[in-house]
Amino acid sequence: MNQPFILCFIDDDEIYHYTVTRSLKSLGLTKKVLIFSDGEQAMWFLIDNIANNENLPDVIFLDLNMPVMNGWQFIEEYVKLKPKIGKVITIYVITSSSDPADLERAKVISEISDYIIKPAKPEMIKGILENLERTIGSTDGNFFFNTTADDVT
Amino acid sequence: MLLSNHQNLRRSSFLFVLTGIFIILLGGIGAAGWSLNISVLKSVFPSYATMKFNTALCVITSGLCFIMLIRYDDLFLKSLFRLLLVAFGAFSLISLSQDIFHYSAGIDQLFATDYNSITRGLPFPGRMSPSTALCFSLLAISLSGIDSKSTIYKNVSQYLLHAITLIAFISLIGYLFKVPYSRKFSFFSTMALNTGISFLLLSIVASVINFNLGFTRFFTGNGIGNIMARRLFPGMLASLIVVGYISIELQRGNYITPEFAVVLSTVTFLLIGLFLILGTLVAMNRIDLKRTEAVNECLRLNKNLEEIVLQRTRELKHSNEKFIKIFNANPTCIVITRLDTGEYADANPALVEMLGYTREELIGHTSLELSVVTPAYRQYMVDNMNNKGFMRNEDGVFKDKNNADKHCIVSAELFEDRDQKYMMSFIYDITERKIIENNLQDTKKSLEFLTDKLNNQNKQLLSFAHIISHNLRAPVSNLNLLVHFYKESTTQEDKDELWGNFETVIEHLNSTLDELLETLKIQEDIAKEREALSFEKTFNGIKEILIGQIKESNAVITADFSKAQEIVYPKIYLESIMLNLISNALKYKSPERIPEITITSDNIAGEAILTVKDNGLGIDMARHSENLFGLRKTFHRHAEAKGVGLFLTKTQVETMGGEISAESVVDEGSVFKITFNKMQA
Repeated sequence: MNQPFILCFIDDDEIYHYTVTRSLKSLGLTKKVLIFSDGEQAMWFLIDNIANNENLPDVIFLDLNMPVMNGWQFIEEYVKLKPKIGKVITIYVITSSSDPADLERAKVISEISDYIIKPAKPEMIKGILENLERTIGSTDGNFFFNTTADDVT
Repeated sequence: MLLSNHQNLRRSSFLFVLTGIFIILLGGIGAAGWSLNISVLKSVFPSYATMKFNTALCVITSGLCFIMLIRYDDLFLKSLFRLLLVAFGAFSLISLSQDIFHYSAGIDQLFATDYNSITRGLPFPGRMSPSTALCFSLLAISLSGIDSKSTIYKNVSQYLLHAITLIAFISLIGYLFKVPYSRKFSFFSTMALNTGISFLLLSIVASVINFNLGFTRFFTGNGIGNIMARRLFPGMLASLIVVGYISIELQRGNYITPEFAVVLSTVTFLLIGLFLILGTLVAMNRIDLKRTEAVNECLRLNKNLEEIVLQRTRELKHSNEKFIKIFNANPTCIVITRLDTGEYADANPALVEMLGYTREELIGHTSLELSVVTPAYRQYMVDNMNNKGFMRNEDGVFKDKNNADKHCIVSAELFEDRDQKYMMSFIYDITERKIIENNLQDTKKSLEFLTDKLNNQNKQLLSFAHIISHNLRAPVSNLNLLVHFYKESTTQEDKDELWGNFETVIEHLNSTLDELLETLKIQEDIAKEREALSFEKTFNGIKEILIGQIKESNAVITADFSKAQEIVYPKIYLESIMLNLISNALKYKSPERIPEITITSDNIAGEAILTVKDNGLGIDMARHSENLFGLRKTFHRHAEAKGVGLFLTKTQVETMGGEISAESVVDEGSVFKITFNKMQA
């Protein structure tokens, strides 16, 4: 099992993009990373690569408050798409919303593995990834920075 | 009517007719005697005078006449009655005239030959006796006048009947006392026994027809004299006849002398008279006693009645006093009006006080004349009275002298007094209660309004809390991480890079705080000064501000403010609202279409409404309706989309008590609708 381990971040916050990539870098985790500014863009990527398992992410870190398609709407669409995807994708919600209502809502969605409140320190991300690697068992991969349409403020 | 004064008309009529039939029968027997030549039928006893055939005919005729007199009602029978009356009257008169003028008219044996008289050698065979003829003449006259309208004629008829009775009676007494058949007595003695009976019966019965005239009136009626007459007369008559008969027989048998016979009869009659008087006396005393008792009873009853009347009067007076007290002291208005005219008959002090009219101003005037009630309400009350007879606790409005409304609860009752219908109304003034009720309602309304407003503010506060948690946490957490990296960074280059990011975050934080502060400012400005603003003028101002974008996009903007031209609203807000909506419409235009923007004002149920319609990109309402007006919510990847405009607009509209809603179809356009002042109803 020497497949590259692909991470996906969906968030509209540019600074967050910066801190995440920097965290990964500082942790020395050289992984393939996908970054999208809203749910819709991520969705289009999934649909485009539905047949290519090697391109699909293993983990998605999803923000809730986003323009055009927010986190909830993304999950809805993802549930519809899931049967066609031939890969196990783990989804974490990572958001600045500490609203209990949002937490409750996330709990009842089985596709969401955990709910993380920002700021997510590099150590926290490291722990999650190590956990996942243990279950999936892949180590090496190329660090790959993907920038898609990123012009949204 | 002939028998109109008879109490039992059927019985009287029956008895009269029966008498008539009996008379006809007597005459018939006589006539039969002549036809069959049976002497018993002619004279009862062979030695007595016979009822001549002419007499028999006259008896039958008079009997018929009598029945007709009683029973006739049609004109024909009346005429026949008169004819028969004239016939036997004339016949008997001719017969009588023969005796007076000593001639023969040839009627004596016209129908039958009188062999009896011829064999006995009596004069004028077949001729009826002069007394009989006289009686028939009198009877004819009497019967013709018995139902006359003239009292004199009626009286004459009555006395003629009495004369017939007398003549017949004398004849019959003659037979009874066996008075010798002599020349001197011949006038009476020549009348046959059966003829005499006929006359006696007929004359007495006929005299009963007018029982209140002549001697008959002695025996009829319930007067004490009448009773006495009825008791005494039969006894007197019988005793006289018996005494006379006995003394005549004794004298005839030569037991006593004629003089003694007279003495004997006189004394006997006196003695019998005494007993008769005694009997009458006892009877009369008994009657008198009864009368006295009746009088006493009557007096007693009268006294009782008087006491009852007094008692009733007292009770009535008492109840009347009670009523007057209830009427005058009642805090409820009581008024009595005539049902037909509505005229006030009486009004109690409570009503006088409520309406402000004096009692004198009310009484005699109608409620309509004084406009106390409307004609429709009065009619309603009258209808109630006529249909049900009462009203119970119904609402009514009355006007007092100052034309002020009095809200009342009304009950009413119908009653009659001296054939006049009246309505007694009980009116309870609840005007003050009504006012308080209205005040309460107003207070309730304003409380509800306040509650709505508070709820609204609460909602705003809640969403504000959300905004803070969502929009401030993100930059703060970013700062956190950046600080973390900064501490760990070793190269100056790295530090510079981080520093640049710090600036971005702080800028972002700053603008977010500015927006929040602006929102807070709006919410503080609830009492912002409102002024009358023209939609048209405001719109023109906005157009000038946006002139650049409009020209650039070739947008076609149409406005129609004809339905609502003005609004009372804070000037800055109206401008801000219009600016945001129109600039949004321009900003999110479709790249494939020339923008068309329509702005209309409307007035629905007193609420000013502003609608802004465009043909732009539209918003996916299924996805975004929840967040449409949220802070930092954007729906298009547009460089200028900040998610602030609609949020501010909503805050402004809601703070001023209005409402904003949107409809949209992707790639067709959006409609934003603002209802201003919704809560200031």
